[in-house]
Amino acid sequence: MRLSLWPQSLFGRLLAASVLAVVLAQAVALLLIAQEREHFVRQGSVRDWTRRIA
Amino acid sequence: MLAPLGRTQRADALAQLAASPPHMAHADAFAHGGPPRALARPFVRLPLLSDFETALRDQLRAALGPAYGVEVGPTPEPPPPAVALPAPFYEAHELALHPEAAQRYDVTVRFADGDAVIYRVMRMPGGAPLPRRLSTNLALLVLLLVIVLYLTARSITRPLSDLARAADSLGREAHPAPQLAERGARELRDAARAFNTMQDRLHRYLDSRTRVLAAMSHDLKTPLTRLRLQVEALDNPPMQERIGRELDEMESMVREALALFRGLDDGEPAAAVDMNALLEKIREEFRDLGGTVTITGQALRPLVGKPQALKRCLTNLIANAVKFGTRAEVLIADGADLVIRVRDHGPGIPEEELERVFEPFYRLESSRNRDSGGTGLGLTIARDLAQAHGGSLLLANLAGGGLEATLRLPRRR
Repeated sequence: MRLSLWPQSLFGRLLAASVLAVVLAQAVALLLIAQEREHFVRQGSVRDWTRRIA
Repeated sequence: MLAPLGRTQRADALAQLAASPPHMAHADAFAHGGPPRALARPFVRLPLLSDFETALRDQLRAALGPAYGVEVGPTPEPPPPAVALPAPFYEAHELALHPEAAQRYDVTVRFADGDAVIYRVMRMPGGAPLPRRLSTNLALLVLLLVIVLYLTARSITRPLSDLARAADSLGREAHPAPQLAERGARELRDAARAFNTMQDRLHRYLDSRTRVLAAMSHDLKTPLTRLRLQVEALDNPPMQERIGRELDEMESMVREALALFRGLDDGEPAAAVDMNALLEKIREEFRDLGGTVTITGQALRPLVGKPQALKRCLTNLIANAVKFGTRAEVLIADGADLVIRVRDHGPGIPEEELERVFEPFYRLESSRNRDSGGTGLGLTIARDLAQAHGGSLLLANLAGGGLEATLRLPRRR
């Protein structure tokens, strides 16, 4: 019998594909949030230090 | 702005700036007359500025104007004296927690008169950390979505599984299976409805066929019996014997045809059948009639099936082997399927006829004589019964001569 990580049943495939899509979407969302947050913090720090130095 | 101040005032202002924030314990800020000591060392710059360095440099240049030179880069080793600037509050917390991980940057501001001041800022590498609450919330969201997806996938696939089960059991059971529930998406409801309609049509057809055959059976047996009585009244023994054989053959054909057509409608309940005992019984029956049957191997456990149907199927196969190959060898292999091979050492069957012999009333030219007998229904019935059990029956010629019938019966899981 051939072993495969990809499910053979329709139910398994539907579930696996959907869960993969959700996890991928969440990972991308997390990355975007982290990027946006970093951008925000960096802009804030740069503004703050610029104000102090100037 | 420090530019309008004199050098002494500039130094005082810088010292005050260095002393002002609460978390500047690391500050070694200083300002003094003449070029600062830090500037005597070469300023280490990375070949590629990070986004942060570029942003800070550009913003400082825009704020200070073209009269000031601004350089931003990682703090060189050993760090030159510099004015430490406090981190904004949203970074200060992380820096206080992990001071060892802080990344230092030196900002060099050059005045028009040649003086320079180095400011030191600290950042956490890798950007702003995400709050743990966000990760937890996202994980909870994934969990919620997985539950919804599980329920959705199940609602889609369950009607399909029901349909597959119903289609699999169609024709196996003597009585019609209950109607399939029409539920789920529109396409699935349509499929279930179509299946129910097909099942109804099939059962109506089978019912009418059974009734017609029962009537035929009765109508044919009566004139045959009458003929037999009339033949016995003949005073011509050779003629009597010839017509008697014809009548025997006709009766046999009627009996076999009825058995074939009755096929799935016999109403015999399924039970756990001890195949070893069944084969042994068949062997004894053939031994009583002078046939030789050998059995090799054994079934590991009982098979769920219709006992009489299985016996008929195996009897037909073994009878063929004994008839055409003088003796039958039965080989049993048990596993996921129960495989029973019946071999003989007869002439075999031409390759192109291997499938045709399963057609009803089809007989090979070599068996179309009185001695071999047969109605051409034995293999048809055997395959019919094998398929009724979800199995298969195949014929193949053996390399050393002879024929092998392979009966494969799946074990119900």
